[in-house]
Amino acid sequence: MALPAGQVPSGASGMLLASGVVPGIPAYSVKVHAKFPGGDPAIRGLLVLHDLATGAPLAVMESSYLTALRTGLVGALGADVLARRNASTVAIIGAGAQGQAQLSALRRARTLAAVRIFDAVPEASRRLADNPASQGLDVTLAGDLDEALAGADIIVTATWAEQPFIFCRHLRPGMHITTLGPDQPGKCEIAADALLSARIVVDDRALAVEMGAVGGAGLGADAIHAELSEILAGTRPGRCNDHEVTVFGSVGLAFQDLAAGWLAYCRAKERGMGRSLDFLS
Amino acid sequence: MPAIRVTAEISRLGVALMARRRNQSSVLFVIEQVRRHRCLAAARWLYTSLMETLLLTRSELVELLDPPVLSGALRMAFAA
Repeated sequence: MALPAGQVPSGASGMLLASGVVPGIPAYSVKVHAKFPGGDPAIRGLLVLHDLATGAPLAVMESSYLTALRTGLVGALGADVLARRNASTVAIIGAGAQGQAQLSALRRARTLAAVRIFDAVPEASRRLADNPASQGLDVTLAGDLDEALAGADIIVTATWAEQPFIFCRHLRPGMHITTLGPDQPGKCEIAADALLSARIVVDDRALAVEMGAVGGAGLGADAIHAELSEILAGTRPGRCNDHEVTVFGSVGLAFQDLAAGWLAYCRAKERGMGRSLDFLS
Repeated sequence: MPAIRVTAEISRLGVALMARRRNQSSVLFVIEQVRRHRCLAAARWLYTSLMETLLLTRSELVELLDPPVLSGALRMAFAA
């Protein structure tokens, strides 16, 4: 649930409240996120983990790291499922925290040889080039988008864009694109003509249309091939050949926060980490 | 505290915690904590688990969230 546009504070792109449940986890999560694109970090917030049976607050934890990490891992999961087996060059468009998280996670899933980085803020590109996530790769700091996309097998877009910047003319046979920017109404990275030329997989059909890459490009649910869970379960096929273009659009789902928060909580209990507070005292 | 009272306290708190969590892994977790901490320490741990909220900072999360393990948890959550 996002605050209505008229109630969002100046300088913020959104205020988000997301709750998640996963079968088998005896807790639910509530995340409050404030998105200030000009801030550093741009996203700040808290995740509250509640007991599923009683509602008692089990834990309160910082949410931006957890969100960046789980988003990176889900993006890499989508790319690993959909990208060609021999894909080795990745283009990162948008070199902020999420661009770094995506590159780190992708390198855990796939063996990469080169990364091409482009960000509207050149300093952000340089920071990612110097980050451990880029170590050992052939790094290109691209001067523009076309230079970044040239020769890329996997493209990851993680921007705040409200207008599409990847069009049909940018696509090459066998390319895979993971688009992460569109996570609220009004955001868009890939134009409709490019999406319609691709096999589109999303994390959630309804959200992809309501506030994700599909709806942001003006398309409906009929443009979507499958959800990631269907590909993982084998009920829908993923990539069918080395020539087709695939797109994974991830809005980010609240159950991913819960999975991460629950893992952190259980490990903290095991290791005796964190501080405890009785809010009712 | 006499051993008999400590045992009763552990039992009371352990049952309450198990009732809250309602799954086998949590029960096993409680048993492991009782075994590890014994007597009063275990009782205190159970009491804390029941009554208090755990606060975790970013640096603690960096230490706690192992990417390969979380990736597996996310894959399972997608399949659930």
